Amino acid sequence: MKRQVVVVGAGPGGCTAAFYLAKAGIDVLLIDKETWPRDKICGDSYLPALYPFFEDMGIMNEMKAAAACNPKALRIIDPDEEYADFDVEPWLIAPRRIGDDIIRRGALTSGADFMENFQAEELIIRRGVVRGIKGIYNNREIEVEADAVVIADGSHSALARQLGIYKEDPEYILYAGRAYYDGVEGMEEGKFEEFYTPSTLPKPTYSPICLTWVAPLYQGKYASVGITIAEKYLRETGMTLEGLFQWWCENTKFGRERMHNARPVEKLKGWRLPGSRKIEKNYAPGAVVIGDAVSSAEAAFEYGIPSSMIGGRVAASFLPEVLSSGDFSEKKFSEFQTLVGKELNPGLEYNANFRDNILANKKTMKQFQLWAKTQPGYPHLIYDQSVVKFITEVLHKEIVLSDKKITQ
Amino acid sequence: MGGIKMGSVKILSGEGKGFTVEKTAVAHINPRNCVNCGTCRELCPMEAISESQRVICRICPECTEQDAMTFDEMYEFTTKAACTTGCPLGISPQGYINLTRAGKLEEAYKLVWDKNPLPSVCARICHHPCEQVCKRGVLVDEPIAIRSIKRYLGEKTTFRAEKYPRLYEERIAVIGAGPAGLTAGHYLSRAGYEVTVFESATEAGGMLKRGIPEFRLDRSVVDEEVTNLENAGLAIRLNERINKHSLEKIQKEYDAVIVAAGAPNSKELKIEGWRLSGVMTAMDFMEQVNHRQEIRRHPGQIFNLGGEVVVIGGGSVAIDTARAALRMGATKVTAVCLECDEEIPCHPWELKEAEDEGITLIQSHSPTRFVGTYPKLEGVEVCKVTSFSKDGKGKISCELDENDTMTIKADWAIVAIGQAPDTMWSSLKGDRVYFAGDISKSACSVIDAMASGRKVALNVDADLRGRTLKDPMDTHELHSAPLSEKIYPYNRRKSIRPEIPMLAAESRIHSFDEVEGGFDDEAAQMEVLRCLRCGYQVVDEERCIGCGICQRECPEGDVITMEPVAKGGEK
Repeated sequence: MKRQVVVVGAGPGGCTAAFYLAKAGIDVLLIDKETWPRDKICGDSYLPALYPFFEDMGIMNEMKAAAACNPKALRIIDPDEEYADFDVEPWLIAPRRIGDDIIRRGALTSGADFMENFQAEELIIRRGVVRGIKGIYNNREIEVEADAVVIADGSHSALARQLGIYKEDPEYILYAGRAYYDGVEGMEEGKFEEFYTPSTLPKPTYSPICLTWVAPLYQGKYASVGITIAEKYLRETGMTLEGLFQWWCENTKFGRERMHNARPVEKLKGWRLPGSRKIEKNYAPGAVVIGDAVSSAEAAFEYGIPSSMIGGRVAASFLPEVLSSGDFSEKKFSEFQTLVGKELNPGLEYNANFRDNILANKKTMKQFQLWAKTQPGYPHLIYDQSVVKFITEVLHKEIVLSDKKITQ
Repeated sequence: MGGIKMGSVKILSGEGKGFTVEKTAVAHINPRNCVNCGTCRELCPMEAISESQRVICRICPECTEQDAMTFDEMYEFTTKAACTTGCPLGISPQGYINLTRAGKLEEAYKLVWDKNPLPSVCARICHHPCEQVCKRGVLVDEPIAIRSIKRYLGEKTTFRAEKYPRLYEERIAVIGAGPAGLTAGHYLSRAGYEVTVFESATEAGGMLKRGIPEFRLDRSVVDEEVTNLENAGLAIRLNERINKHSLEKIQKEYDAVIVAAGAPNSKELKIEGWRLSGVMTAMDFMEQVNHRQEIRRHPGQIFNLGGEVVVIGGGSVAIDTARAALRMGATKVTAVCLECDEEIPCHPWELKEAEDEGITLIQSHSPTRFVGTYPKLEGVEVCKVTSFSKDGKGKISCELDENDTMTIKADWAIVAIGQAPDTMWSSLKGDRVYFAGDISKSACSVIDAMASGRKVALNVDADLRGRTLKDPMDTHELHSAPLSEKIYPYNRRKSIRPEIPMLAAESRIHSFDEVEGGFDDEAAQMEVLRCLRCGYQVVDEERCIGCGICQRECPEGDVITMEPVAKGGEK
């Protein structure tokens, strides 16, 4: 089989690339290893930055209708289990099994071909240029030749690994778990809660990311409850992901309050969330890599979908030009890193700054909390604006808020 | 890479003296293409090659069917075991499975045959310790059906062994053409010796033919493998029973004697009534079954098909016996064993197959007497075992509740409580006499017997050549691969292990046809794709002298490259 472009992975990133490529008249084959619709372990958030994509695909109304919650407020609980509330621009929470499938169907309206249950295992590389993929389909090893490949095979990417641009940074790679519950108590409608690493952990470790979250779904009838922790800190606890989650449920003030009558609707499932501070090498001659496959998000307190979809859109505008110019050089493809970097680096920088200056330290975390409560307008301060104000006015450091809104 | 210091490797001889070799190249193994067959590691004269195992991620709950782990458990697990260390003969299943995947069936079969002269036999009756440690089985879902792939290879290839080389003038005698003897003969023949195997029976195979029933192992499979060995140059002399006199002669004529005469004599259970007609030992019974002889209570009286049979014992032999009795026409077969649950010595799948056929196993019961009106057996009285233990040496002690007894109706009782070697060997001594197989340790499986044959062969070779034993299996250690090689099970296709074809229980009990079938092309192709490819070989560039043996002997293309080292500087 020979196609102009093969897009590997039909998550939001791959779908966006396939959608815009097909729209530009390119012959596209989108493949995915899963049987759709498929689930994904996630906070299930579709941020406002995605709405323009949904409009283009004609799925905005469907996404809104599928939403199980429209959070407009955020509660941050610090290691001493004290909290502050903030307002945020409302976003959509919808189970990924539903939301991602709407995106996939929306993407295919532009004419891209789609094959599921197709596991891409290896890139075909000739004379240093990616020329297609090898994979398993219907229990057979098959090859698809292509002029270019968009690698969007996600967090566990086998293809990015083959190219040597896959990251395994224990400080930035998170392991996450998510379960759906009913009977979670004490939630407020439209309020997303983030619990930071409690000081009472048996083997004390402090991870500069929220340890657990609770989000009310369907008017609080159900809840999405999850855990996130970087590899490095999880290892320090000596616990399994599930063990740590159970510990939180049973041994923290809020954990007990929320969970003592909760019943799981679905078991805790785990996932690996990659993250980085800036866009690094995301290409090889003949291939571009987007989304989690190249750790394009700051997974700690940002959602991966905007970074993936923005990456997909950049790929779709970059590749037609490459195909018509016939320039498959390293230099040409390196432009892709610059293009994606221009879009995503400001957001990543903001996040890194936030992490380093506030979240990395229990003390500043506490300080931020106390400070917020003294501000006029509390508890209706806008979260990201408050972060900027605190860092510049209290800590006297610089921070720039990205207009890309890839974060909360 | 880079930064490889060129130049010279110092090679030390035994006395600490040495010489240096100018190094012009170092070998590099591409982890992506390496099938981990281990050929290079075993051949490397510098022991510069070792095996790395990729970490298999098991952090996330519900990612696979098995429980998640902590990071420490996960890393510890990585180097604990692998299919390549699971086989007592040191065969690499990952190697032949991935050669099969690449369509190199002949190479795959040869990889097995080099170490295991009875691949198709093992493909049917080996208890596959390799599958027990297969990481896909332990960490993901079910182990790769390694044994069935081996069977597939045997059925798909027309392997013709090359003639063994003849390098040395020493001659070696092996007594017994069972799995241990044939394996010892194979390894020594491959090493370059002239080997003669003496077998007392009319055909080679030992317990494979006398003990194992045909419904588990078709006789033509054994014959084919024996023919292969003979074609390669192993001399097998049948109908030669060795007695004290002929043994002395052999010891004079041969430079080494390996006794692999097995443990052919069933132990008797001398409790009250053991002389009743209808009580027999498993070996007597199986031998008659396997030779299609009429089964007689005593001379002149033919086994009355349709009786009830009690088998005493819970090991593999007991289960084979019970299943054979069913096929001989027994109306009801009950096995009785001292042990319970996990302690039952037969493999769980053997028990399941027997139970599917309608055999009942009564656990935790000890036979106390055979009941009957002389001379006819009428039943077996058994007593409840209240505690059972086995010490390190295999000595059993158990306590019985004498008030809790029952009598099981029996026309026949077959005693399968273990076997012993012929007593004549116990007095045998002398230089260059070695023991292999069942005779050297009790109750060993086919693969263990073969492994013991292999080990003895290596010892014989070392002794005859006056060198220290160097067994690649002793130096086979697993190292942990870097994180960049980590395997995420999520990334590997979820696919179901194809079912191994089996004859239906209702029909198979009426014949001695092989119960287990083999994979067809489609099932085999599906199955090899499930291999996670956990391991690969790595060259220690400091130790490598660039001789290129590894590259020449690698059965896969595009794996090993010899990278030049510039004089006095960098690679």
